Amino acid sequence: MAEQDFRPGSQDDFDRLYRSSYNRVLYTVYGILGDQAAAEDCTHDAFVRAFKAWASWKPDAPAEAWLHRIAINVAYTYARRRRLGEVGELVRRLGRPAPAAEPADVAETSDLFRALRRLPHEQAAVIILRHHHGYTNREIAFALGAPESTIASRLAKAKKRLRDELRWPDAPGQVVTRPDTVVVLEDGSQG
Amino acid sequence: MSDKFDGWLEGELAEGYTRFANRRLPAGAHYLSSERLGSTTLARKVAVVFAAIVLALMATTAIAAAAATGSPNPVIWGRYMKTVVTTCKDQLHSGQHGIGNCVSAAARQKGTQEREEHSKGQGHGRPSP
Repeated sequence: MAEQDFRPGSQDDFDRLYRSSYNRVLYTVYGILGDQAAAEDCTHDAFVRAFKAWASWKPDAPAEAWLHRIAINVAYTYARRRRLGEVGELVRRLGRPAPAAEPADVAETSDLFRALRRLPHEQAAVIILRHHHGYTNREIAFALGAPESTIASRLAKAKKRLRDELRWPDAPGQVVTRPDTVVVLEDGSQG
Repeated sequence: MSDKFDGWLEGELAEGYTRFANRRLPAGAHYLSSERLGSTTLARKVAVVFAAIVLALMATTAIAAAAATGSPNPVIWGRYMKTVVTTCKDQLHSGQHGIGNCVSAAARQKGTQEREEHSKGQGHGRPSP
């Protein structure tokens, strides 16, 4: 997002930021958590926190990257609590069969989002920030609270892991339409 | 091969975003009410109300999408957004990443257009029964 002369502490400016960024931040959090209801809660919480801290925002970084930083931290905290809850649940149902996935969850999640869900949260975040929001390394570094010098390698690792999860073929001569559909080999046959 | 993967990845992310791009925001500046959220119970109640509002808004969004595309079928809206995604991908220069801004702008523009048409429609008055 282009910086639009946001003034720290101005409620009008925060409203503007809210309108332009809410769905984008929500999408990033959804990519990290893979759960829309949880993403809504975390994004809501992030905007509440951001509003409280708005007066102290410094325009040395894009306001949306700052919002992302808050939202990503909220999402990490949520994911940690969820993991602890899952461990507790696992202990409670030891010996019983695991519950099946909700049909709605399966139906509305694409291969990509299923793969993103299996990535470490930070890797999922870096993928969405770069490949959807088009953030620069500097903006990603700010949003993740990490040194800018490490972002390129983190992104490379994240993409490699994602390709592995999707079983994206690397061999030359293979033309891929989508990883789960048709792979046309060099000799014209379909694999 | 990496470029191909990047292209596929960005297309999938853009398509995934179409579910979010046309969403109406939670009503009002909800972050203002946070100052009064002292207890967990109250926060839970607010969360329930919030979820109800989100559901209502999702229904409204479907109607808005229908009005914007001239069809009650949300699939038509999906097709429209797919066209937008393709156009945005074509406009991407070499070395650039992410078409989120382009898709967001197209969804916003369509939303504004739909609202204007809707308000014009209201100006003509109701048809006689």
